[in-house]
Amino acid sequence: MPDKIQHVVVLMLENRSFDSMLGRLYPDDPDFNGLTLGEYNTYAQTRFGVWSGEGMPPSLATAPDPDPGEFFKDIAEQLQGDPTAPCPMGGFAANYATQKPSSDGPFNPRSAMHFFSPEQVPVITQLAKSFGVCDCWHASAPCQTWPNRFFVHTGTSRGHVDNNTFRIPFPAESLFHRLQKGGRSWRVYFHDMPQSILLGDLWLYAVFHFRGLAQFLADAHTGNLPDYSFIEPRYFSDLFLNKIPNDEHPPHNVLYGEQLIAQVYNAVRSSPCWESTLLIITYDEHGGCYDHVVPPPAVPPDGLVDNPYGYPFNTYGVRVPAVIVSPFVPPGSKVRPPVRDDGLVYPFDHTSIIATVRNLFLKGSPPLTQRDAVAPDLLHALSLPTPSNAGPASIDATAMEASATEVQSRAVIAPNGMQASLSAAAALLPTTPPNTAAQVPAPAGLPNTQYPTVAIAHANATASTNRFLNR
Amino acid sequence: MIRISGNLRSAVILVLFSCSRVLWAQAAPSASSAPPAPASQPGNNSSTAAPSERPAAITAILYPDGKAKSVGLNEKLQVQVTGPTGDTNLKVDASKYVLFFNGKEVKDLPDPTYNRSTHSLVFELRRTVNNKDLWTDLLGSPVRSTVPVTVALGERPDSASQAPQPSIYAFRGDEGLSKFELKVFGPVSISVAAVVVFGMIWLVLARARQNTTLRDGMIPQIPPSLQTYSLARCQMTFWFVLIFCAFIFLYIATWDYNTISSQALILMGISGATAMAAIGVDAAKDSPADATNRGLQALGFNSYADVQQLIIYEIPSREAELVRQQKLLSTLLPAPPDTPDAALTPQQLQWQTVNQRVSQLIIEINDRKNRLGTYEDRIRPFLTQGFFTDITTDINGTAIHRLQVLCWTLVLGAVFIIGVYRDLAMPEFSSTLLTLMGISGAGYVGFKYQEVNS
Repeated sequence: MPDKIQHVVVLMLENRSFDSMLGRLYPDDPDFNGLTLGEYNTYAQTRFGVWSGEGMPPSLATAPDPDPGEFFKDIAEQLQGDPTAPCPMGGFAANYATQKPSSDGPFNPRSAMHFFSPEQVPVITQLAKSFGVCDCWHASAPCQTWPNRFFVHTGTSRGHVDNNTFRIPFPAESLFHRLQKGGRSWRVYFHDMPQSILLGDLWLYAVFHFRGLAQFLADAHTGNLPDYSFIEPRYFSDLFLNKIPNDEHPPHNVLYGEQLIAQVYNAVRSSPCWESTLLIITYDEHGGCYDHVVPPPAVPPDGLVDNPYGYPFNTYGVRVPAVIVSPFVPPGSKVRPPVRDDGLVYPFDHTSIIATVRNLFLKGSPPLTQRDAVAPDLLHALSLPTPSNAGPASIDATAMEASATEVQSRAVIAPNGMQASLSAAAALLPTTPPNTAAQVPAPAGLPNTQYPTVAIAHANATASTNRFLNR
Repeated sequence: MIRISGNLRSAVILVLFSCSRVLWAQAAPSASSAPPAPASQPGNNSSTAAPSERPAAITAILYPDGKAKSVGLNEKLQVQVTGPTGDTNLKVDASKYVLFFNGKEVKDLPDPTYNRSTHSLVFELRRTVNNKDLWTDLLGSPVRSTVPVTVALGERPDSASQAPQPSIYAFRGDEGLSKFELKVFGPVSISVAAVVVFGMIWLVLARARQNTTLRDGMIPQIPPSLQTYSLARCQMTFWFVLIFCAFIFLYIATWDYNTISSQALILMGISGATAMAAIGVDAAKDSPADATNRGLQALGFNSYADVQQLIIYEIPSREAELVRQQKLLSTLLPAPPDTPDAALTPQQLQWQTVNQRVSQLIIEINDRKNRLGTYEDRIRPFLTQGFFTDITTDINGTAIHRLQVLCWTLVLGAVFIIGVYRDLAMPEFSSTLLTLMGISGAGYVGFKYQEVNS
């Protein structure tokens, strides 16, 4: 019952494909578009099939390790592969194997074909089975993190395909801004540096809306969730708090992300707002992890092309996991996009979140771009007449605490693409929040910062963010 | 009915007592408590009479060098005596005489000698196991560097089972002649002791503001003067200082170097063990302080010197260069056109180079300021909040396990000080009190185990 939904909570994690996380959710269900275990890629005349590493200890839930390539050109290679090979999506192993040599270890092509079995990721598995799973949710574009995260908030990346080409502040109207204008409440909850802080139209009032995750837990507990909550995971290793990133970005251990999912779910489930809340758990992009579904054609959002490849944003990205949680969602749902009146079916993508929020809280408000204009919302998944699906009362994630050695090992290495871009962008944040539109600086390219370690990148990112947000 | 307070009552009694002594001295009353004195003061006729074998009265107390007006332990006390007829030509068997201070026998002294030239019995004042109670009565609770003592002599009885009695006093009316000032502290010894004690206290306490003698020092990137005070270290230092000062005090007062009691050693042991256990807890458990240390090291801060390097050199030098480069940049205007493949003049090429350097300097300055800001944010929870707050609170506020250690330490410390001052000996704490200190320390260590993870 969509009209009963008063709160939408989105948790967006990092860089995992649908098959890598939920590919074997319903292995015997022909209606479920998952892995059959017959999928493979070929590289150097060797066939590399999908594999899960059953029995692998939790501490090794890091595959693929090292981090696969995720630039636009990498993804293009992953999707194309060997044109003569019988399997589509045949270039993951080859692209992985041909990455620039890294001190993080050898790029074994088999790693790109890894997936987690349901037993290895029990939290997202339990939620997907207890509520609804989308097996046709695609990243908005076959691009890196930032383009896809900007799609979540604005329905476009304004033609950019890689993180490091953006100009900050990002000059597109955001869903948050639309909610602000519509008198609806919203908050971004984050751990270290929220990527969404780069949205230019939030800079005037960001200080009032960006909060730490602890505030989310408190808001949920007291029944004070805003209309729209967007949760960002921890992107950086934090030596001071002895924390590993919980964003699940390879090679960060996915079990820390599972802990975050459980924490968010438990907070919502025990909240007075539970019956009126829709929780969406998804990932920004596939991050080089194998998925067997070829991305379908897409409606370009705004016609902007600001990339050297001339990519017009006319396809979606690789599938990513998406789990829809609400007491109005029947258990075991496979949430599919409806057929439109014109007979077309568009898959879910990140702009489906915009469409859902718009249709819930901003009725009559025009779409942000042509992409979210056609995006199916999720409201039809709320098909129960009453909030009768209680789901698990709470979920216990694998109890695992990062050792000092583990955190250190993740903090003294070179930052990954997301970490490097965020810390570079942090330098563009004003030292004090602007009070007027005139004080918002013009968009500028990312400075050429090359912080040698995650720890130093983290210090720069958080110091600038905290200063900007008066924290 | 008039109620007289205790102090007033004591004052009245003291006045009455003083008056009675004056009257007794002037009117020679037959107060039974007063020592019997020779009935009269005879003339000096020593040249005509045969030498007496028994002194009859004390005529003076002679000081060794004639300048000092007091005699102390390990010094010689000369008691000038005279015969019954006032003769000074005595033939005395000195070993038969014992010394009385304030009417009490000074036991266990070496046999005195008789100095014919000064007509005096010479006693060497020594403190031994057998007479230390008397010395404690005399020297304990000192308020001045000397205490007045009345001397008397007695003859050693033939039978060892009989106690000697004082029988030789000053002549009646001349009781002042048998009084002398017993030295508690000599000027030299007290000066040396003061230097030693204050020197040690300065080492421990005064410098504690600037170093980590009393502080935790778990995060070496924090300057020593801003580190938190450590309760365990403070407790250990407290007992060390107390026992050291007590030892010095007792040594100069009694010249006895065997004054450290086993209970004092146990106290030092308990406080030392508590401090070691606290350090062990800090070291064994991966605490937030350890995480902070690792985090700061990853930012290039291995010690406070690295922080100073950033503040004093790295940031100012870059800021100075930035100013220079920006000035230079302003002289190279206008900027070249922002179009690719445009042909640039040498000046425009130089503008590009300088502009790149300006951008780089800004990045470097921001990076260092951000690292410094992170440093300041992260060390804040570990900075001292002042001595009392540091030792009595943890992250949740006042901690009962810390407060009880502090209270019991102060209470036993006060008992210790009073005991040393009053009894000239380190107190013999009961096993119950020592167990209390042990339990208190153990409780502190146990709670600290949880505390370090908060």
